[in-house]
Amino acid sequence: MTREDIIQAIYHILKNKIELPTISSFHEEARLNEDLYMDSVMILELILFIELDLGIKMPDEALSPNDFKTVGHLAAFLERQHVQGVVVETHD
Amino acid sequence: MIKVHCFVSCVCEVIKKTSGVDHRPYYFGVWDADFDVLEDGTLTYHSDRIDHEFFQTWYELLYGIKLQKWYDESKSKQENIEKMLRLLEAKDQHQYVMVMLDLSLLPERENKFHSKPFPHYVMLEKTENEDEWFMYDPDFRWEGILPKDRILNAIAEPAVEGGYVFQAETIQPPSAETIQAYFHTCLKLDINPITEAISDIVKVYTIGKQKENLSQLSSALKQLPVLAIRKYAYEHAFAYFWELLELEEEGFESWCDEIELLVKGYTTIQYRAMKLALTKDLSLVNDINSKLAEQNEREFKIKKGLLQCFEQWSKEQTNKTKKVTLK
Repeated sequence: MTREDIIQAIYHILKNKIELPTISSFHEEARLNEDLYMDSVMILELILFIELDLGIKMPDEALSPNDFKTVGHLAAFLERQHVQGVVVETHD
Repeated sequence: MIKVHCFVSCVCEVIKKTSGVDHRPYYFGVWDADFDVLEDGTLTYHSDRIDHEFFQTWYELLYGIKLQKWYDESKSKQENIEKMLRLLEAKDQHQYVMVMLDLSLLPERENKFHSKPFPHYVMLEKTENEDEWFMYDPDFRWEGILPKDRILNAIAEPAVEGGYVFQAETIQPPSAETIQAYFHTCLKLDINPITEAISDIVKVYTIGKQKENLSQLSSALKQLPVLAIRKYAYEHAFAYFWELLELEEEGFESWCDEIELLVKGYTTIQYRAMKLALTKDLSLVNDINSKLAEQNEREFKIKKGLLQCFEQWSKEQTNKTKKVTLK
């Protein structure tokens, strides 16, 4: 899964599952709180859909909505999680 | 300072500006401050059953400032607005006029919780321009000029009602005895009410009255972040005693880490509850319960640690009194 795929998946969840009213402001540099007007609960909701739909496991310590300032930050984090997940699977 | 409690932040603003008077003891009342659980099991930081009498009483006892409620719920919104206009008109430099408004109607303001409505206390002042008011929002560390009609619009919202006025020129530092009495009133050593309430709500939505509505558990716990940040009040208390006892910075930092873990722990619980609501996978209840147990353990540890600091501080106060008496 590439970074572009992840960003596309985030867009899809925000548009279709969370039905974010500010979706027209979506871009990689968009700040989740200030630009997309997402509160901490909405960010958790997004992470939850990512975990359930994409199968990317989110560890407890990553559940800090403040750490995901922009769409790009979140995508970068998910990319790392995804790679880690693949590595673990390969070594099992 | 992180947003903790808007009412407390408003009344503390003047204390912070007064040298020789410390606002931190007032935060003792915040870590377990009142909240409500509605009939349907929804956790809420604001409801008709919550008043600020506790903070009102202790503000006067600690700092000698009488907080008067000017808002009268038995009167119409318009009558209350007129009362507020009269207060603003007559106010002098030592008087502070607090009002509750719906912050969601002032969207240019930071709105981390994205609540709608968002009941929130701010303080107001007139400016030289009669179409604009100066708004202080110490809880979000924001102050600035906004059009008067937009502020009035946010006050007129039916979901919000409340207001206080106080005269701050008589402010006095709290006595050690009053701080001790307040601390004992605030530190609940045998219960952590928020953790307890979450545990009850999860039961209600899994095996209780609302079990058919499990998908609503997410919205029942939606306001948890607002209550979780109240736990930062422990940081103020540790900082206060730490400074007066002249203890090593390192120890303080490790308590701050514990408090941070406590606040973040509620995020984990909320996440797991949201997952439970969405997937209906009841095996998640065990994960939630184990995290709740961990939260309880952590918070009791924090309370115990704080009690030790308090006792050490109290001992020093007694020694000081003895020295004065011996002289």
